[in-house]
Order: sequence, then C-alpha cells, then structure tokens
Amino acid sequence: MAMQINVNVNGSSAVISMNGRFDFNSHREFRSASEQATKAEGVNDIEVDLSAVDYLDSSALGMLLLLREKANAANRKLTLSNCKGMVQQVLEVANFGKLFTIK
Amino acid sequence: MDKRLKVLVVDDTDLNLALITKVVASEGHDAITAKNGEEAVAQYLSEAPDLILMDVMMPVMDGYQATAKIRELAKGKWIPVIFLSAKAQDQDQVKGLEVGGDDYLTKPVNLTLLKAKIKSMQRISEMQRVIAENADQLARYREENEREQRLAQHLLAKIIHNEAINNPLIRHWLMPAANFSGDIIAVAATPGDVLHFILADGTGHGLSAAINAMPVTEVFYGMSEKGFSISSIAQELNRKVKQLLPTERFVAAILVSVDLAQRAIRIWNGGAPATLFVSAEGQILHRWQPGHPPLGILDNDDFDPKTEVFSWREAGQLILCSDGVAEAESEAGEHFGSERIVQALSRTGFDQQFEGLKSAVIDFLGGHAGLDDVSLIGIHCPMDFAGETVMQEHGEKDFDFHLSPGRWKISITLGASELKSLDVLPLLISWLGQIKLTQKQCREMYLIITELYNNALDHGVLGLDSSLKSLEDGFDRFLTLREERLNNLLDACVEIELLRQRRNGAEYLQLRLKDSGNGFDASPILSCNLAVHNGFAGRGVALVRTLCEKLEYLGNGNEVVALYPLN
Repeated sequence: MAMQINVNVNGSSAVISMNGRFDFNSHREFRSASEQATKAEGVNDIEVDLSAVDYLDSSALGMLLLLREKANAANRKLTLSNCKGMVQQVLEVANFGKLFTIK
Repeated sequence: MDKRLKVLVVDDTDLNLALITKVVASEGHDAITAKNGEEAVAQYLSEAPDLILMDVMMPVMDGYQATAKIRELAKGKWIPVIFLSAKAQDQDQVKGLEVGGDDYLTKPVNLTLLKAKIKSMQRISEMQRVIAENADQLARYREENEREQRLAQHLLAKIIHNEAINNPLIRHWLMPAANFSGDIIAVAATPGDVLHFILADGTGHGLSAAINAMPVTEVFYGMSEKGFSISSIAQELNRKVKQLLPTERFVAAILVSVDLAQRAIRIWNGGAPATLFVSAEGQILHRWQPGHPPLGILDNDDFDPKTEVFSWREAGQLILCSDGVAEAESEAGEHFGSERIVQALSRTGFDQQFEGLKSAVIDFLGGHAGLDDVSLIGIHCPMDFAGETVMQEHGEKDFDFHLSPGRWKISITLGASELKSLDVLPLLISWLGQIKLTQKQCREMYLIITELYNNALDHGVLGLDSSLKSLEDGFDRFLTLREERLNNLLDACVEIELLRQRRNGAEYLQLRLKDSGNGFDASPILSCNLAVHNGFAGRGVALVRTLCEKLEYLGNGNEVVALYPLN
C-alpha cells in the first residue's frame, strides 16, 4: 500500500509525517512534501516524523539526502524524529547520525 | 475544443441518410455514408471512421452482421457503434448490444437525443484513445526496461568477473534478487600481496545500479594494483561517486584489506552491515560496526578514511554480508536479522559456517528470490600462512633488460607533514610500474620498499618498539601509539633513493633509505632465521634479506641499503 504523507506547517516549524513503508514508491509524494516544507513562508525548522514508518529502504535514505540538501540551501534546520525499530537500525547502519540531527 | 469526428452513417434509405448526415454536419463533424452492411464494412476499412451510426434492416448485409464483422476486423481497437432502428422491441435492442453495438436508438430518431449520444460517444472515444496510447507507451517502456536490465546484467558480469576470486582462501556466494539490484564483489591483490576486497551495494535497481557500480570497481582495481591502501581507495571512491552520481544516490560499501603475513585485517565500512571474524569453533572474535556513512555523500573535506584494524591470534574466518542477508524477508514478512547470522555461524569448521549461513538464508526465503541481492564472502585467515604469493600469476611478460640499459636515479626527501599525509609507497610503486619490471620483480620490490620504509618510519622516526606487537592486544596498542606519535610529529625526515646500476655485468636496483631517528642495532634481525622466527619484530626485514643480494645497515642503524638483482 502506498505511504500516506502529510505536511503540517505551524508557525516557524514544518512537520512531515508519514506511515507504512517508506521506499521508492513514495518518491513522488515525498518530493512534493519536501517542496512544501522547504518553500513554506517563515519556516525555520523542518522535522521528519518517522514514528509511524515501519520500513525504510536505500531509496528512502536518498530522498532524505535530497531533503537535507534543499533544507541547507533554504537555510532551514532539519531533524529526523521518533525513529524506532527497523527504521532506527537502518539509520544507524548508514551512519546518518553523522549527517542529520536525530532525536 | 472537441475533436472533429469522422462519422460513418449507414442506411438504405436516401432520406434517412440525408437527414442524419445533416445532423452530423451541424454538430461540426464529417459524415461519410454507406447504403448497406457490406458497404459499411468496406468504408470502415478504407476510411477508419471514429463513430458509426448503423441502421439494422438493410439489403445485402444487415446492421447486426456488419457490426459483428467490424468488431472482428478491429482486433481490440474500439470503435463506437450506435444502432438506429425501427425495430423497437426489447429483444431487438438486446441483440444489437450483443453483436457489439454500444447504444441503440429507435426510429423515428429523436434528433436531440442523437446529438447528445454523439457527444457522449465522443467523450468515451477520447478516453479510450488516451488509455490505448498509455498502454502502448507502457508496453514500450516495459520492453525498454527489460532491455536495460539485460544490459545491466551483462555489464556487471563483465565488471565483476575476476580471477582473483578463485583464491582457495575465499568463499563467496551471490544470489541476485528478483528485481536485479547489482551488488558487487571484487577482489584484488596489491603488489605487496595484501588481499583487497570490496562489497558494494548501490542505491537503485537495474541499469542505475550498474552505473553506480562501474566507477567503483574501476577505481578499486586500479588503485589496488598500484598498492594504495584501502583508506586512500575509500577516499578516492567517495570523491568519484560523489562527483558522478546525483545527491540521492550513494554506494554502501565495505573495503577490506587482509595481510596474511602480518595477520592483520583493516576495514573501512560505510553504511554496510557489521563484518564478523569467526573462530574455527564458531565464536565471534571481532565485530566491525559500520563506522561511516556510505560513499558519495560527504564532501571530500568531511570524509573520514579511518579504518579499523584487527590482528588475529588464532585462525578464523572473516564474514562479509550485504544488507540483503539481514533484510531477507520470509513469506510471513519477517526479517532474517543479525541474530540469525550469528546463530548460523556458531558451528565448528569454516566450510560448515559458510554453507550453514547460506542454507539458512535460502531456507528462510522459502525458495523465493529476495527483494535485494544477497551477497556473502568468507575469507579464511590462517595462522600458518607461508608468505608465498597469494595470487597465481597470469601472463607474466618477460622483459629483456639488456636491451634498454637505462641509468637513472630518483631520490625524494619527505618531511614531517608528508610523512603524516602522503600515501608514499604507491608513488614509488607507480614509478616502478613505469620502468618495465616483471610482475614478480614489481611485487618483490614493493615488499622491500614497504618493509624498509615502514621500519624507517615506525622504528626510526617514531621510535616504536615492535616487540610490543607480540603482546596480548599489542598490535592494537602499537597502532594507537603509532597514530598518536605520527600526529604529534613536528620535525623529522626520511630520504628515499632508488638507483638503477650495473655491477660486474649484472643489473641491480639499489634502494637507500635514511631516517632522522636515533637508529637501532640491526644485527640481531639480520642474523635471525626466518624459518624459526615467530614474532612480528624483524620478520619483514628478514624476508627482505632473502630477496636481496645484499642488505646493509649503515651509520647507527638509521640508514639501510638494499641491493636487488634484476637478472
């Protein structure tokens, strides 16, 4: 089943949240969510809430890298939050802690 | 604006034909006509109309027959047919729809209704056209994709086909995924007989995975051949992958060097699963966690080429897995996981461990191919390695040295900052590569230069005591201390001189090394017997002595001259 993805802009922060499998099938949805979060007026912080994601593949990591690049270019702080179980493992193996703020 | 349709009007009465044709024209479409079923079929074939308005009762061939015939000729392409008939019974309408009509209007035709029907058919017909076009395009994409997959597989097979992998110390297994994803396993030997391995897993599938793989293998083979360390190779790979691939693409990789003579393993792991060193009894003796992000993400300045070293004190097997192993998914949707890997390896015997893990993964997948490639390498690391050549030689070129007796000398002096940052040996080796030595000579010279240079640096400049290496955990302490002293190095130098000369009619390469250290007493090393020498200390120098015609320490031991015969 395709992933559900939402962007919630609240003042200076934007939260991208999603559920299910975050993989290459989510490419289009995630890209438009990224655009929204990086272009919304007055946003300083972007948070990607991974609490409801139960699978993450290497294309998903690639999408996060793209978002990181866009956020950097727009001078916005990026955080990955609520990583659990397999998601946490995948991020650890890839040493994404050295590239992202993870909380 | 709606598309102008070509409408075929079929009726055996001229009056009806004229009336319907006028309605069609008033709606902005073009009408063509036929006076019976047979003519209608002929018009269909020659004019390819977009819509047919079909009378039922006609001479020669009636509307039902003509429609059935047209449906048959259309072969899957949809053409809307509306019956216009005086037969107003329900079963007439049913029959009309059964033979392939799309709608049925009774005569006398309500013209307003007819116009509305034409409009509605026009909409449906347009939708059908778009769907057919998409389906056609999809089929073409699919074919194209399959062609690319075949090309990718062909390319990868060429890239990773390599004789070095036939080494008896190496076990390997690669099970391609249903959706081919292109894991790469490559093996190379340096001129100093250190084995290099890479297990790389790029993002993406099919051709894009192969594109990730190509620069990786090229750099890996090229630099290994020249004797660069895996740190330098990792650095260059990162630069190249970053330069070639877009932001969202990267390559997870494990780079390994196995020095059988020194019993040392160095690993750089960027985003690939943990590597294990397993004893013959199936105990995990060492585990390398991924210490870095994958290749192609960090800028060169931020890239960390640091490797993690382990030196084995009992024979073991190094196990490398791609993430396809731990992520192999059972039919129940469960993952194989790292626990099961450790469990499968916990048996006695290296073959049993490797085969055990392999069949555990196959059983777990339940006979299906995984979602990702599954790759596994086992490298047997013995205690009693003879120190002979690791690789078999292939196509060695014999070169007649007497025909080009060039005389030359190169010398280079390295200061503290060069000693810290330069991968010096490959520079010298690349020079040797230019002067047309045979493979055997190249390898031996590499060994001589490596040993003597490392001695000069470690013992001469850094003042390290190699007896440290024979203690428990001594190798690790040795390396830590080495790194610490190297980092703090302020004032030091090593002079290297390489000279081609002729003595008594024979050709020689002479290597002279001088370091700024305090020197040491070389006589015990030079007199020790290689065959019974167990410790690390001096083992390398003793080996060098067997390759040279003469090996001499001068001064207070901070200068060494080695004479290597070329004939």
